[in-house]
Amino acid sequence: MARAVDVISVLLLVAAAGAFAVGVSALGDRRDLDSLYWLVVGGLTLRAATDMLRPKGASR
Amino acid sequence: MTATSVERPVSLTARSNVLLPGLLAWISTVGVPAFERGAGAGTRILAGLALAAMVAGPLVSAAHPRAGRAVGIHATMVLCLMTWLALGPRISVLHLEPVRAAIGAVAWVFFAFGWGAVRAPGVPEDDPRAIPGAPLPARSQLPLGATVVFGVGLLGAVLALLVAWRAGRSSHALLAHSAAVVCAIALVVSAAKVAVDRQDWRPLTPATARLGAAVRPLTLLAIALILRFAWALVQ
Repeated sequence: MARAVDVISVLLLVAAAGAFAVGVSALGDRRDLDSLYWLVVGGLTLRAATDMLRPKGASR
Repeated sequence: MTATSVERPVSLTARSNVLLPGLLAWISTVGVPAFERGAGAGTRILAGLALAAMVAGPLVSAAHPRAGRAVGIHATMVLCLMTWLALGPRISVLHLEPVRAAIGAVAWVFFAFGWGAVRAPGVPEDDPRAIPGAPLPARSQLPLGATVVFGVGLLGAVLALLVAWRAGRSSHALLAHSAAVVCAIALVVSAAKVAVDRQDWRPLTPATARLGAAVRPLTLLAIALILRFAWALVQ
């Protein structure tokens, strides 16, 4: 199960990279709302990827 | 060879690392616009003071490191910012010369790196102050695939920076590049965390606790994706 969470974390990192690329690309295509949406999605995805590495209260 | 004669070239190198890119950055982004026809005398004085602070910082830092950094970095940057504010619309995006601006941006990066410090060349164990004995082994190793994970983050960062060049509108191009830089930094930092902070090398935390820690961003992410899907259906 721990290994699966690691894989999910890496997949979320890849998804965040894709979302950021789409967001910046949308800015160039004059789709400002789309751009904002994908940049926010990228940020949330990245946050989720790193949050599941360090649960609060876990031994360090 | 005395210690002083050994230290002098190193010191000169360190000063050159700061001064050369700093001067290039100042000329391309501060000096040229400030000394163009039509710029005010106050702007030129501020630009001149920025140059003086930039040159004085590395010279002072040999004897007074703290004061040297304050003058060479903080005073220089404050004076440059004041010059840019005084220049106002003369340095707006429409008036920027792209090649000069790009050279200036790269030079400012090297100026920042120049103020950093690196380990002196040579074998550390040869230093007379090194503690003799067996080399200390690393307490742990990187988790499996750490290099690959970090490489993915690095590629994502490069991709975002490249995609930013697709922006055609000048005002949005600047925003796109700024957004791309922020995204690239976030991706590289997070990739480094994901690469090394996985649970292979420390007491395991239950997987449910790890998923629970990410429940808030995951919920917001799900809501955002559902909204997007609903919007696509409506359209």
